[in-house]
Amino acid sequence: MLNFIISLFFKDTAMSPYLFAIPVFFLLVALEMWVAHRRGVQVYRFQDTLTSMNIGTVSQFVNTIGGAISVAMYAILVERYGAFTWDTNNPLTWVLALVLYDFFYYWVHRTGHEVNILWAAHVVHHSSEEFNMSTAMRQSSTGFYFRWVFYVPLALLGFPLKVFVTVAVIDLVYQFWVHTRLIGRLGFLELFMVTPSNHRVHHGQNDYCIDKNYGGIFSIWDRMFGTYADERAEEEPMYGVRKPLHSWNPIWGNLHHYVAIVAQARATAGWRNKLMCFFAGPGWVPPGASPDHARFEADKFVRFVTPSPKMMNRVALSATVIGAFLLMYFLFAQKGFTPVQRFGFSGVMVLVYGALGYAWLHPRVQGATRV
Amino acid sequence: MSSMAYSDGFLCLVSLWLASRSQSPIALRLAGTLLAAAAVLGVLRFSGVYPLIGWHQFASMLGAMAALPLLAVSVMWPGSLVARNTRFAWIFMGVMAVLGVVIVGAGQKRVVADALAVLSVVAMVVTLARAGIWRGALAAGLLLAGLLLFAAKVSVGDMLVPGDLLHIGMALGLLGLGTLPLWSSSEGASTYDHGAPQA
Repeated sequence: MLNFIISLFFKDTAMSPYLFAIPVFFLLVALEMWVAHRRGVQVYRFQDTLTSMNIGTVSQFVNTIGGAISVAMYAILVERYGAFTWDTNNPLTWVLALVLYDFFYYWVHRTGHEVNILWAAHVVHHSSEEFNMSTAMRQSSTGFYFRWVFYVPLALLGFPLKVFVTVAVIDLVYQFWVHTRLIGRLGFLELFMVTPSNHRVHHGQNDYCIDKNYGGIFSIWDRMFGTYADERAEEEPMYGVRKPLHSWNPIWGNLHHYVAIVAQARATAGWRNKLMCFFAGPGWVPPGASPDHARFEADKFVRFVTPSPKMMNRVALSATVIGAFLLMYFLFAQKGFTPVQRFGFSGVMVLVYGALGYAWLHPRVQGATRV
Repeated sequence: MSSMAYSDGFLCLVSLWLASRSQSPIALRLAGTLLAAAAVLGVLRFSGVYPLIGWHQFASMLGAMAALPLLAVSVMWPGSLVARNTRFAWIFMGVMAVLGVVIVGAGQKRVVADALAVLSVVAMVVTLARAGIWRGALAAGLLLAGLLLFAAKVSVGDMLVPGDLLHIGMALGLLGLGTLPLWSSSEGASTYDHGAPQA
């Protein structure tokens, strides 16, 4: 049964598993909106939600190319260096692969937070100042260049490509539902699983939340390596990052921290310090400079809000919905595309979303200034 | 059991000694760890106990692409960030390892790893000779001899095959380099300023 399901995605005519996941994600977002409405709590804001979705769509377009490189690297390495043969009919193979994948995911995620140049790739996921299921869609478009490296041990162990890709998708899809404020603590599951409660801590910018809870499916890695923190009832996490994005542009969302690092390195004297700008932690400042975001003060935190004219909202909503359908068409039909067509299709979509994000903050389009 | 199991065992012991010396800079210890890993896999392979050929090739590639350049950086710039700072030593090793995986592992350009290994060792020989540290230059020279004899497929009778010469040359070279007083000063940056290592 397991192999049959997997074979659906690995035949010559196979489709991206995300083709099936995307409608489910949108349905879950709608369900969360409905539940929030029934409870009378606001967990969604229009521009933030559409930006999250647009960032997700852009990342899917980019990752059809970037992700393919990672998968190709894995395939080559497992063929050349894979040491063991694994029986894919044995469920234990899949379980072991998933646990090991999650362990390496922990380190991908941790370095993504603790090394500045890698944080530049991941920061877009944390740039929302809300925390809901659309936030899960805010995936990086630039992380593909380093993530695959952490999974080389799985290739050396010889886990077949289809096992690797399947557990990778399971790991990512699992993480979708934990992006919600509507589910409280989950009893004993909090001890070893990633749950909405401990993932809220991960997305918080309060002092106790920084560099905590990196797990993907299992939180045991955080407990093992000292990065676990429980949610505090008396101090609700405030979501977002300490150097806020202040933009609705998916392209800028993906690139802004790279630009900031280069600017910081150019303004910093000495090679040692220039290197530190790239490879130290995101909070690092040159010796003598004062850290500009050292402590979080919840009472001074102001969410990024901009005027949102109705006409612009309609255009943006239409673009998001049409873009989602075009993405699904792309994922469905991409095997028949030439590389040029893939690049072209993806490139146009990325530019359209970039233009939309730019337009949203343009005073002439808004007819007003920021509030 | 192949003679290479013994020579790799010798290399493994020396590499482990290098990796375990707390007074050595982190880059040297990391290089020792990588080479020890490759040598352990070599022992398992050549002794027939548990031959993981792919892993041995992979670890050897990392040895050439990451461990020897780390060693070269530690010798050429003993006070540098890469030599002494744990974070930067890991980053250097990681970047070189990724290059190795891409160029040699995926691209099958083994010659790049070989060239980088030889270049790293030549750089060490030249640096140490110019500084008048002849014991160090000799040690690096032994490393270089091991690499070149292996590349030239030289054997010594029926006793030592090219792989043995590589392992023995590397082990003796590492033994000599590990005992240099290059890293004894707190900074190390000025080691070569005076033409001789500081006490």
